[in-house]
Amino acid sequence: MSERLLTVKDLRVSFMTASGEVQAVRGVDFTLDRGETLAIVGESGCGKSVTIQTVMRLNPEPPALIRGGSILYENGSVKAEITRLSDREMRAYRGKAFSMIFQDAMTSLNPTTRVGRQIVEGILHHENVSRAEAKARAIQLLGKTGLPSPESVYGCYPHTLSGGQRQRAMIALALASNPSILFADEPTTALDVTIQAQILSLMSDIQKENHMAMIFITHNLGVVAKMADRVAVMYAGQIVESGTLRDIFYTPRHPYTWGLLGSIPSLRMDLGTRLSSIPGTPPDLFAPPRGCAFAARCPYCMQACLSEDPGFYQVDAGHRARCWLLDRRCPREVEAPVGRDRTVRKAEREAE
Amino acid sequence: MADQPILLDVQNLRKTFRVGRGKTLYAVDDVSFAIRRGETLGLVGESGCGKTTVGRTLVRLYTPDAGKILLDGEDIAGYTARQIRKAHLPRRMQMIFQDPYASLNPYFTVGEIIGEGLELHHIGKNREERMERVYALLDQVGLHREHANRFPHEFSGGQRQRVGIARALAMDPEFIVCDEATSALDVSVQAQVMNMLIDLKKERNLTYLVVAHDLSLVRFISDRVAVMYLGKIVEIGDVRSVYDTPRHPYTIGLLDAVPVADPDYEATHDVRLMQGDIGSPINPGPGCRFASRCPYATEQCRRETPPLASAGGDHSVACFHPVV
Repeated sequence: MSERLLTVKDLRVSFMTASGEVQAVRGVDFTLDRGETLAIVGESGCGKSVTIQTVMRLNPEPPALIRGGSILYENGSVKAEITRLSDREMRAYRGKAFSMIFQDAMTSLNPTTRVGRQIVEGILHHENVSRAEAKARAIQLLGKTGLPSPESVYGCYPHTLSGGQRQRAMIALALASNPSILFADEPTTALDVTIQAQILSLMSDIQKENHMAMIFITHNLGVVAKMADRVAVMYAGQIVESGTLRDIFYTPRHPYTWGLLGSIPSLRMDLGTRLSSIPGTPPDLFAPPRGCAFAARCPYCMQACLSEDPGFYQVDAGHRARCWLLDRRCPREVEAPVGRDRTVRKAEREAE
Repeated sequence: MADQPILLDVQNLRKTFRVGRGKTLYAVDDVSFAIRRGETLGLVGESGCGKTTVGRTLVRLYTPDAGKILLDGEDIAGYTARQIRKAHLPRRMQMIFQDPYASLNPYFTVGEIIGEGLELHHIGKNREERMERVYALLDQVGLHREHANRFPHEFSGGQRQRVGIARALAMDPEFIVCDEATSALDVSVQAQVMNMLIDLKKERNLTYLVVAHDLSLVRFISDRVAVMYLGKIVEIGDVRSVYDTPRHPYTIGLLDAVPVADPDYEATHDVRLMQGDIGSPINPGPGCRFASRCPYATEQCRRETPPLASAGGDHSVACFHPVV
């Protein structure tokens, strides 16, 4: 039986800015079990980063504001409603319950402090160990991330390391207190492919060893295919489709997912084919559209799409999509332009 | 394509940078290749391999230390700034830059950015005629004429990149270097810009050098591809040939490391991890520069530099022990 670690329900996050309220996350639901990897994909500004930053409560509030919803963290006897915790209470969870690695290790590590010290600081915060023990642990962690001569890296400043080495150091830092959930926000986007392959394989190994859950944020669908168990596709602050890895790649049911899958060149695509692009740009989240957020860019847009949000349809167990094309009342029969099973069948509306 | 005349013939190109304390960075070291008219050559490699320097040297943003750049037979490698102007090189070769945020002057309107070259090169009789050209260019890259009076900060990344493309097209060049032209963009926008570059090439019979680190993208857009490692071309040839039957251990490792957006493939595919980081191009020693990471390296590889030699047809590889 899988063990649920995180349950996010109807999460709504806004940013209060001088020019108004930006509704960055507009009702996001997902769950995460121990040991599994969820990938959240979507383009810049879709709210994927804000979602996980909110789970860690990393955004200063204000300007961020949790408008509604719940984030329930459970781990054995520990049970916490993250949205209600004070900043002080959050400190016990950050680093211990969940930890994060960022895209840019250069700006995420403290440039004025030696790498080792940054790791020791994390260990000492959560655990009652001596400084010497913490140092031994830090060196061990650095070694585990595949850094050559971890003792010397321990004493290095971040700027003296290469991009790949810095990312390894940041992984060591994130793992310092053995978190049960690791968030990775575009962890390999800034790296070269050969280094990316090393880092991804390291992350998989560590995940298996620590039986850790991961949420992977990326726009690289190749990385998703390699790392994820389940995938959530986000658009304009909402999840528009979610399912297992195979659901999303082989039987995608949302036109935005089709657009994403069709727009990436793949090493295995036929030469001479044209990329399908998604025309236009995402909507303005100061004033999100009334109906389906993707309607304005969707080649299948109907009357209903403009006036009413479709809500989720249950395509298959664990596979849901937010699209009117799946409604029984929809007269249109469409075929997905990508995937293996392309016949789009009507589905039941998901129970609220 | 093979029957087309050679537009650019690059011979033994070298570009070094002094990095202080008597050290020299060999960014491009003895690189030779040719691009035929109407062809797209992709140039791939990891950061620091010198691919951007090749692009910038070709359009003479840099002056090479040695070697020839024959543009239609005329060696432009040693041209002074004056000769460059006199030969109207900017009207023949242009560049599209990676960062659409840093490469547009924030104090200029989009119309001024696109029209500046027209003005400097006295293209068009008067201001009105130049503005008409700017409008036509905006239209061609999918923007509107009203955009001419706006400033770069009012645009999204994808739109800015279109402005950069319109600026390059304004001079009606024959040859364009696209240096990571879409890597700062989101995937759906990247596809829009990529498709546009392909259409423009057909319409205007352009020749491209596409510099990129994304191997899938380069495969998609190029006719031929060159793989660089620490200042050297290690493999070059027809896209199909290089991607389907790579011969250099580095090319093989590089292609193997690219994650493919297909779960079944990834589930069964085991990446043979290339160990270590890309080395340093500062004062490199003798021998093959890939030797330290190469699983097949021998004593000879550490001693001598392998020359780029034909591996059949148009396909060349610089390796003493090419993989069959």
